Amino acid sequence: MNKATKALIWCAALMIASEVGIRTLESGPIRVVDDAPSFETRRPFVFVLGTSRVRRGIWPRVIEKAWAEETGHRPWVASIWELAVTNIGLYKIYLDEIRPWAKKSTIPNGVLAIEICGASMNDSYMRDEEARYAHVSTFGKHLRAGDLSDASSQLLVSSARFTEIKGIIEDRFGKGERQEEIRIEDGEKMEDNGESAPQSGKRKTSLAQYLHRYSWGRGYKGFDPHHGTMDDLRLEKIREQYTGTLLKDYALGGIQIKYLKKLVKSAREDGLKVVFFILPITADHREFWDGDMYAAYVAAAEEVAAELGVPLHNFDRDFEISPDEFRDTNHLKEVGAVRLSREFASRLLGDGLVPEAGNQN
Amino acid sequence: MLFNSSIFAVFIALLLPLYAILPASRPRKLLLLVASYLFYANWDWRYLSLLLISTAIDYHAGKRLARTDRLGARRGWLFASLFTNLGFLGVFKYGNFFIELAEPIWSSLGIVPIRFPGNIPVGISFYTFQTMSYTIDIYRKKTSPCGCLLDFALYVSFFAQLVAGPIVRSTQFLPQIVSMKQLRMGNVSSGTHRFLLGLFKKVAIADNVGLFVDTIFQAPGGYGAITLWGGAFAFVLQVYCDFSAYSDMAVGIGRAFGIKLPENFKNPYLARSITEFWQRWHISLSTWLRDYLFIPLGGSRKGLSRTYANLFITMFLGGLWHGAALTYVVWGGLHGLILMLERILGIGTSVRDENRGGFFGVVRGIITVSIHAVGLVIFRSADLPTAWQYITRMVTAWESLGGEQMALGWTGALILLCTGQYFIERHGIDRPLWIEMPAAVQGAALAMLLYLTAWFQADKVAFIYFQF
Repeated sequence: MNKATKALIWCAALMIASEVGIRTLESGPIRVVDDAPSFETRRPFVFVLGTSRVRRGIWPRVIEKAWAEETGHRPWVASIWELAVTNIGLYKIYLDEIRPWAKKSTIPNGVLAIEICGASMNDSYMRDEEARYAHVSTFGKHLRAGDLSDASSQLLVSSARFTEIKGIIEDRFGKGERQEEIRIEDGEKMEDNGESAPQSGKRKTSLAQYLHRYSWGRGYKGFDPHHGTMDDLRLEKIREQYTGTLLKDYALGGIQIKYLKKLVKSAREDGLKVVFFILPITADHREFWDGDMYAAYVAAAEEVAAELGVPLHNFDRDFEISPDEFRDTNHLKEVGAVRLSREFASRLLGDGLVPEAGNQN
Repeated sequence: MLFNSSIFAVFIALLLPLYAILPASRPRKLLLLVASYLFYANWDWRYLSLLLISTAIDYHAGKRLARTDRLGARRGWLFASLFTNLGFLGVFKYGNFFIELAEPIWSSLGIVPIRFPGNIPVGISFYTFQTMSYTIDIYRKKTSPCGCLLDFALYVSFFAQLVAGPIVRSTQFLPQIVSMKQLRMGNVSSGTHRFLLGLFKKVAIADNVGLFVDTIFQAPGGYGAITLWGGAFAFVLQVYCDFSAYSDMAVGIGRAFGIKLPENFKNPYLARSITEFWQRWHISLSTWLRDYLFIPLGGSRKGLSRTYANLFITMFLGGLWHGAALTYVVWGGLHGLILMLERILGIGTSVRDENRGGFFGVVRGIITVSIHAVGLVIFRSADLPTAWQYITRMVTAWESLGGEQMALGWTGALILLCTGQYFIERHGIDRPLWIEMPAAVQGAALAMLLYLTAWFQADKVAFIYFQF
């Protein structure tokens, strides 16, 4: 027998011997002590759920650092965002990504911070008809999803920090179970307007296919879908297709409010404390909207927050920020993001949602 | 099918005994070919058709090239081979990239271009380069065509190196499989040693470093310079441990079947210049580019300015070979510029230099790895603006935003690897010290590797070079 083979036999023998040794130790009077509980189970968790504005404006690690500086204890902070920007989408993300392990009651100091969506980008109210229809048609399939297992799943993006924290939790507590086949209740299905909604199990549309046509910062006051103009025929076709229920459902009202409430209810059931927030936009961005639609959106958000007893932080109104801190009309640059994230941390602490310093373990 | 997956363990566990019981060379080759096609089809069976077409055309072109001395006909057959292979690459790998580059033109013409809907076929850059080298060598009369379609098909598709190299030349591979010998226990065992080393590098090191690297590269704006440098050095560590692991595994598997595949790395982080780096890193690609691109362009035979231009073009296209994105192109161009600069200043070193230059050699080594790290920032970033943001923050953002400890830790690990290479180069697996060690010590070392692999196992991650 050659030496390489002998080495493999030695290798196998040593591994078997060590395995047997460990098992003997574990089963005998000397037991290996499980040191897993050293994981800081009472360390606060903050999940920030929202739109691409969260991606650009809320930086988990800055919040962690600011919080640690203020209290001496570092929380876990993670953000998850979606691009279709509906509360149905956020609810879906919650069910798929957070609930599986939030439900395990292992997160005693959990906070869910929700950017109020639905009308937060509010393309259905955009003044420019072309921009409005182009955007809604781009995300149409996702907005019209007939059941939640299809809704927005292509649009979910999570921060690296979320992936990291999820890994830590799963290492400690095991993987959570996802709920399957969550359907919107009867009668809530959105209007189809002629195009069939995506079927379960069918290959979904790739977001990348849409995004190359979609960018902020050019054209009509910063919004230039399709990198050009839409011809009249196409606009007419899209207008026919999307006028009516879809645009209505995309606004903050009706079905969107209903799903925001469902989201809050589910989070509370899972033991998470909830806080709402609205992120800042520039005056230019506000001008995209028809008439007083932005004020109506804020009023609707305040009404829901009051009804549910959820604190609402309106950073658009209560946080001074200069247009220079934006990268476009509604997404922040680093300098703005760092400032806002620090303020975000401070507001969350002010809400008293988590234990004070020194009382976390 | 990843080498670091349970399905591959089943695959190889079935293949080896099946191979062992076959009585003759031809059925053994046939088994390896079928196994290779199954291995490839496991990713996406539809792309098997490209592999088959490429095989058929190049086999036929090779025969026709050898049969005629008419220049026109020879050029025609060479063209057919290159057109097929480069055509596949152009359509399936670079199609969408070029369409997107020309987006303003389509918009102005009111055309909505059709995009290729699928993923890039795994390993397409590797096997097309391999088959192209075959027809080019026959065209140059450096080799004769393969007389057996089965042998040629196995050369193109041998599963060990099909998806991420090494890019094997027909002159290295075909003579070895003329007669496939019986399985020899010594080869299988020695191949397993090498495979386990690769498994450890990939699973215990590369995948774990990757978790940190992914975090940093996803949002470089959220970190300070120390963390960003650490992230870049961590990627230096990851990309080596990932890619060289694949090569280790490929060499190990090849050896098990009695096939010697070429070494793809010679301790690249011992290089003291980028010139030397390319003599040590992804050797099968750099020699391919030298033989089939740099030299045909004129190499260094047509004056200094042409030499510099040829260097740049070769590295620029070498960058493009890695992927259909501007980041790879810029990365390749940067390496081309550095090679030019080193040649102009006369500071390029060679892997063959016995004198490593003592202390100054170490300093040069550190500078080389640092340049490589900055290049890899471009290589790894999602797009050029992100790469630019990353690099500018590496020199400007000296505030602490977290992640520094981890960054320093992985940088330390890279330093350990770099210094360890002095030892590995002389005494690692397959080196004299290892071979002369008592079997029990080898066994203990392998058991330790396996334990560490199991201990540090992260989620299964595909090899970085599969995407190329």
